[in-house]
Amino acid sequence: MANNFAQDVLNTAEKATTRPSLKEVADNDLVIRYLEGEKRAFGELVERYQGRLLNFVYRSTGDRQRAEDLVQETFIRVYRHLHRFDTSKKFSTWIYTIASNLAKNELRNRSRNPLVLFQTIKKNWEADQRPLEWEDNTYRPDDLFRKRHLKQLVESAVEELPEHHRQVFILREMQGKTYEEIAEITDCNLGTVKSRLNRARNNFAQIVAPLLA
Amino acid sequence: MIDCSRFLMEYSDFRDELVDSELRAKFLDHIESCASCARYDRVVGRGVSLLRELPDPSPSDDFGARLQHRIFHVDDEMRRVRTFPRSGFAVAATAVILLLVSLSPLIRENTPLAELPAVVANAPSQTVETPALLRSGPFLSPTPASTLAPAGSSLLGQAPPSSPWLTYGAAGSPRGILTAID
Ligand SMILES: [Zn+2]
Repeated sequence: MANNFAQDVLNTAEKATTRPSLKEVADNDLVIRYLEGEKRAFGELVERYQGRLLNFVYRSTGDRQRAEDLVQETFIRVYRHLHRFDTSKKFSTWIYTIASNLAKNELRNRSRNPLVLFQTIKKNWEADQRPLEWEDNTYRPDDLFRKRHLKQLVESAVEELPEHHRQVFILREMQGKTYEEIAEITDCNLGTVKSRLNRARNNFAQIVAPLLA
Repeated sequence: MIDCSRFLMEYSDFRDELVDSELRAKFLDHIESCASCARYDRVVGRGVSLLRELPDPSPSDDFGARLQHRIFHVDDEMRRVRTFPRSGFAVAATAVILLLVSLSPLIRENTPLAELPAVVANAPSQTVETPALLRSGPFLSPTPASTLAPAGSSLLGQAPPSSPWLTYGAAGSPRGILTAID
């Protein structure tokens, strides 16, 4: 009995010395280690993703507090379904898909009011249909207020983008996702991702141009 | 040479370096020669770099504690889910056994009794006073034990059919399940 216990301790110690520390472990291996009983591995996943998910959901929804609730919900769903995660897939795409769906639901719930819903649909449709354009706006350097608050203004320009363009834009420009990952996260085909991203960039450029030299 | 309209149409491919070197050179040529498209490229690039400089919103101080608390409840719930199918099965199995036991008289009544061989008593041919100890008693022909049990009673002893035990946490599910979580 005592020998078994000693052997267990030795095995655990050996595992601890041969295994890389959690910080160096790839996401999918963290999932495996968690499923093998190493509870701290889930904590490492939370640590790794809480900031970037909060950024993504906050930029998508524009509501800081609500974004935090949605990120919590994302982790809870991941926790519940981790045993069903296919470790041949990319963990980050999976967790972003969950967060993206929650953000979409949040925006959908906000537009329950028929008038808001109509305006949202109209805005989205127009954003998809209007021809791509570019007017060479001139910079207004005398506008000190604008200059001082450039970053906030650029930030609010993202909020002005239609919802379906905004998510694609954030995922590409702020989160560095590939087209394929964005297609999977947003459940769109590659062509749609490309077209939305191009339109989002065009829209963004139109909004921020007057602020930039 | 490409024109302004094509530049705008395919700008994302250029920015994300998804065009071949030949087309890329054409884009660069256009930027060289067209001030308007050159500015477009600058505005997108500068706007995005400003965005990337924005500080990431950091989770509030109690984020971890709140998550931990919720996970505690999820664990609790998952434990109950894991144990429920077993206890549920035990309750169901007991109920089936009790039902069968309660129905067993009915089963017996409906079951035709096995026909037993007739009991034959050998009567003495003449009345002779014999000592009681030597008197041969009525001879009962032996009845095979198997015929005594009512037909069908073996059902009670039968093993229950193997049940599709609900496993929790089967790994390697198809991805369709994963995407369905929304
Ligand atoms: Zn041009």
